[in-house]
Amino acid sequence: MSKLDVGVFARPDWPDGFIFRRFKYLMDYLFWTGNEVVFHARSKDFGVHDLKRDDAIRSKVEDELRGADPVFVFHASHGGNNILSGQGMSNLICCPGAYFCPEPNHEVLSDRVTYTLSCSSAEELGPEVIEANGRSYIGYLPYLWILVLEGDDMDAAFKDIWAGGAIALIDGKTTQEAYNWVQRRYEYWISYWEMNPGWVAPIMIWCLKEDYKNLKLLGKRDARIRST
Amino acid sequence: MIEEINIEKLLLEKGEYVKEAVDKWFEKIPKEELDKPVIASIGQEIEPRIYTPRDLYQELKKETKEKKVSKEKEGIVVEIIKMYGEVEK
Repeated sequence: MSKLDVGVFARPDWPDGFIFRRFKYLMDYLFWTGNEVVFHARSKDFGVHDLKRDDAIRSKVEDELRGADPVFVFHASHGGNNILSGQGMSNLICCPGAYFCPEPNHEVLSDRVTYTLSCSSAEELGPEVIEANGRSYIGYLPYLWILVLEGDDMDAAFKDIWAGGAIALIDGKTTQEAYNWVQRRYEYWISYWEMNPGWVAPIMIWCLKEDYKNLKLLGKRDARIRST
Repeated sequence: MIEEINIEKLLLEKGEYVKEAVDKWFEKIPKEELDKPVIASIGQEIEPRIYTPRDLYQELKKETKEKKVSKEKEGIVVEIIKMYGEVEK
């Protein structure tokens, strides 16, 4: 049995694509979101194995998962149908499928709750992880969009939603409850923007609606990552 | 709750109306924002998919002109019409 109250946080951050808004690169937005999750986890005495930047690579993630045997895996980076990426778009976790996966290692997510902020991995990787006795898998299919304009109700709204789902799990919610929480936050921000017209609104509402529709929960709906 | 808009049908029946709504939206964008990134997706492509408002507008303009909006972009057009084309619908 994997250990409750412990998590591995795989958080790459490299110069992937220029944004030059609040942050210079697209990955910085995910790293920012992850910072909030890790900060919250530490404040709640949740065991944090934080693999940042150059530590967010396959060998280190596998070592931490096998060594610490945590119930929770948080990942925030690029993704594809059968793959979660690590630092520099390296292959972090994959199963056979659309993208090249010479050495499948998806079984490292067996018996764990995975929460990933990435595109598409709920297509092939999520189901394979559940097939390999993963507890739950929360991810997106096909795309995870972000609006990168700076503002509490723009880029920070995505941080609010995305970090909030992981925080709900850390606070003891079940996977279904965390999933519901994320859905409610998408709905809240969609309503907010429907009442705030302007050129940004159509794009923001579209991004939020796409992410809302693309959010997937696979596996157990009553899984928890806390002991109390 | 506004009734969902069938873009395909609307393009066939009132293509000019859709085009005008998209143009009206584009005109409202501050000039200094036109060529800065506005949305991105976190996929597996080597080059991340990052769009500026101008990128979006050019794609929407092309697709509405051809009366064939991709499934992915339909949602943006629907939201633009709700905001900038509602009166004439």
